[in-house]
Amino acid sequence: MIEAQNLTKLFDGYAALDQVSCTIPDGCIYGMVGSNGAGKSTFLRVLTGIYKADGGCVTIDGQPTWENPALKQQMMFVPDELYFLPAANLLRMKDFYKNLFPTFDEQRFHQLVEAFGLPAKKPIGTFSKGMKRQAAILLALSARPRILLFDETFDGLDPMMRKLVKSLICNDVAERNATAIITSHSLRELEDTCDRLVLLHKGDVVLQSEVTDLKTGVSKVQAAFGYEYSIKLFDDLDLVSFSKSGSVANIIVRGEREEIQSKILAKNPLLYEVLPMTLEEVFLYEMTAMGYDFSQVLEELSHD
Amino acid sequence: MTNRFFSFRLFKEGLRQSRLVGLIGLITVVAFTLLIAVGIIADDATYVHYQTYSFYTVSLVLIAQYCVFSPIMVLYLFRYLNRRDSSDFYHTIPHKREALHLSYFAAVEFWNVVTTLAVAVTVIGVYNLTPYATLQYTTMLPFLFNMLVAQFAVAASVLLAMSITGTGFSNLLVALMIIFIPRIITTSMASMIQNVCVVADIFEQVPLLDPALNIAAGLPITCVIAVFNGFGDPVRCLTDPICGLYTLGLGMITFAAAIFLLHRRKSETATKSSPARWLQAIYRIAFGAVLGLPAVAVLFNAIISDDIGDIGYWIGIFALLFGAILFYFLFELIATRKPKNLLTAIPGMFIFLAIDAVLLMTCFGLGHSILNFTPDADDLDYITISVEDENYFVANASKIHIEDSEAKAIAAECLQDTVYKVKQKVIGRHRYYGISYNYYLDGQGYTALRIGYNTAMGTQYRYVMLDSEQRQALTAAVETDQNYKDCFYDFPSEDAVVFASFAFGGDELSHDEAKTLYRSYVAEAKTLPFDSWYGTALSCHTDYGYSFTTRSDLGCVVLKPTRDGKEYNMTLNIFPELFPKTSRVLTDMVNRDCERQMADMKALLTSLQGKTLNNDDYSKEGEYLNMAIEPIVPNEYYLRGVDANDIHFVLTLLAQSEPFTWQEDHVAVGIAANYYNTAESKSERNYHVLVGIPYDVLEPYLVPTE
Repeated sequence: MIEAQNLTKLFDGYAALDQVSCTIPDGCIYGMVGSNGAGKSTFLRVLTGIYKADGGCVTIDGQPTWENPALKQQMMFVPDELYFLPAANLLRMKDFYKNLFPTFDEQRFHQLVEAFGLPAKKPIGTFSKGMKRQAAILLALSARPRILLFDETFDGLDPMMRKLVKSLICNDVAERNATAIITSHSLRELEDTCDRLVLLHKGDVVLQSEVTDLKTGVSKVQAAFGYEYSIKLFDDLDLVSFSKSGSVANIIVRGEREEIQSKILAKNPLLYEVLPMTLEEVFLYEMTAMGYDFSQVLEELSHD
Repeated sequence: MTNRFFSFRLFKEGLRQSRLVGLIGLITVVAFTLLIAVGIIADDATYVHYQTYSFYTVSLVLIAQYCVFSPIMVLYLFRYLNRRDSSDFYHTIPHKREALHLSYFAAVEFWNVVTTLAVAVTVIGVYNLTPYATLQYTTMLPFLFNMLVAQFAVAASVLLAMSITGTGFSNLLVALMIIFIPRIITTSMASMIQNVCVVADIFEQVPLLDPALNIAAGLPITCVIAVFNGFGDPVRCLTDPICGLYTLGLGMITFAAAIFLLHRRKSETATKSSPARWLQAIYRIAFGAVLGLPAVAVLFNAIISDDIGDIGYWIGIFALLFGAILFYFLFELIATRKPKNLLTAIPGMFIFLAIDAVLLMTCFGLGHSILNFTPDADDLDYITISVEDENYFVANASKIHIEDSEAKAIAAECLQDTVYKVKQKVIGRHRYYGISYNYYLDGQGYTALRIGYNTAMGTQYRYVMLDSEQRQALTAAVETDQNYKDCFYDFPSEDAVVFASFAFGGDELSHDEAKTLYRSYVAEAKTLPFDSWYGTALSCHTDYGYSFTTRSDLGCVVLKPTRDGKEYNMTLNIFPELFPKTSRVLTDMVNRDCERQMADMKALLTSLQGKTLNNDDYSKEGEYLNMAIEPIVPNEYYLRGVDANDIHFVLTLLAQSEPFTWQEDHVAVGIAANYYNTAESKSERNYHVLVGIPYDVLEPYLVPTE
């Protein structure tokens, strides 16, 4: 289990991470979203021991990750800015990783090279951006680490490759109880892959939740009534948001869908409909309810 | 093999990544060493008598390993620290940072050791395979040790620079600053202090100021300054184990600092010239302080030479200061690439100027403090006597504590006289560069001795000048000390005679002839009054001018006696006035082929009469003739120089010459002629003769030496 407690990282006085706390259980795909400068990459770099935290700590199974080779051996980090050894091809990189990671699976490496269709003997420096990213991903997956860290990894991958990578990550998580942390600007990119999502903003965690909870725990309901009413009519519901236009009420409400349905139907509506919600909308409404105005940020995230 | 500090796998990875530079270095250094060794041997194969070479002289290319390849390897292997992506990459690998850096550094050291050993094997192999030259191995181990240490120290310095900087430019600049700035400052200080306290050897007073101590910086610095004034000793850097040990200590401190700072280094330092503004300010100020040193040196010289009122000096000082300030700001601009930082650099400019001012005052203070040491005889517990160049006799004699009150009184008086003369600027920097050698001043011959003055505060060594009267008084005083006197009659055995060469006649003495000569020399030395032999043994006799054997390249007999594991170079001083028998033995040996040489020389010169010759450029096409004539005995004359146009004059002299035989009223004259015809590349001819010419024949051409 990965645990961050009051994690703080400063750059020239600016807090890239400001007392971030979160818990990431084993066997989970953890999505981190946030705009530029939110602290996603910094979090991963602190976790992998690239950066030393200026405050708080991050541990795996209770062990701090800073200068901890035993834990680092269980982690593979695919950063947003990729690096390969000078003039190296995939085979050279495989040798390098094989020396460092005892779990490196050479057979899987060759399988993945074939699956990705990459030339193993060609210098990686001659690869396109997408091919380089594929190379980094397949090397990370071949190492069969316990924890996989992907920073903006899906950028530059075509949809087919994105699907392949996602399925490979899911398989690793399912088969080996591995943990994956994936950062992205795009909520949509993560919503079909991740078990848990966290929203970072200006170095702070503003929301974290199970994706299924987010999707099923909040409902958008449109209902019309043949009598005058106010928000008080819904006092028995856990409202996130309420708006009224004529006789039609638009409400966002937390709770089990069946329970909500029965409570609203008991109020004799002329019209009742549960509308589908995107993850962005769920985030937006939850943020607003918490007093944040993230409409612009979330709009950016949904467009990315 | 993996632990906190080392990983064999990372070491192998380091070797793999550095092999390009490592192999280029190995091949280059070994190939050039081989070329030089073979070249020397090929040259020696044409000689009758084969030469002996010190190991280090034929392995000098190894210097390139520490100056060029070792630092390049560190820059190449650790360059990942300068890029964010690569820095992040290496910091994620499952090893402690120390293990990564130490293992990679070990790879650099591997190439250094392999290259050094390859050079040693090459040189030993080549010289063992050839009969034409022999290798002297005494300097081999110290030289190899010093080179390995220098390679390590330079590599550690570059690593330290890389630990606190994050761009290629700043890596290089800070590395150069770490290596050179301390030594440039200390050497400049030493040079300035030495100019004030000319009576003392500054390196003896403050050994840490000696640039030769630190091989990494000292070798280039001493090589550069040796060109100008001989201050510093490049050879010492190469072969003195003290320099090696000092450099090793310094290198280890630097290396430990580098590893510590690399451990603390933040990955985000990559691409930044410096991780913190204050550190950038330190680089800049240190750089500025060094840039200001030429101005400080000029100001210092102006002050000690009483030229402070000279406007020319001030123009020079301000021009140098302006240049220093200009480069100071340029450095900031290039390093940070932000013009706005020039403003924040302004306070630093005043700091570096203040540092230079403090250096200037420190040099004056320290210099005068050393110069003002003039103890009274009553304050002296004992004195020791030696000369600048320690020789076989002096090595032991200098250890004898002379407690004789007369000797102490003379020594104290001589020091006071010498210091007074220095302060009055009668001697010292104005008249002569130093006072460690004998010379004439205002018609008086002075002997320079190195005297150790032991007081309750310890022993201080000073170079003092003794006039003839003082020298005789001191000699008479020390003669009463039997232990001291005995040191000068402990002659090396004949087996120590290793080399004898004579330029005249183009031949050398055989080993047996050299031994015969030495035997005669020792026999005569034992019969000499102590004063005469003492002066000769100390090589400080001014009464007899130049020794017979050191005049005009006549040749020399060199002994290499060893005592207590230390080898000495000892050249026999054969003054004709003191060693008449030995001088005759030597003359006979030199002149054994004189008549044939004279005939050949006459024939050559006669055949060249009327021809167009050159004697100033050996490489010019045509016929080259170089001639030299020098009176040897007596030695108080010189003869005007001769060139290719003086064939007739030389032939005239030769016609009135005969092999020198110590006849009354004859002057011993060395005549040499060297002829070379470029059209016939093998026609070089060399003739050297020692002839006797009646004084009255030569008199019109003689010029007194003093």
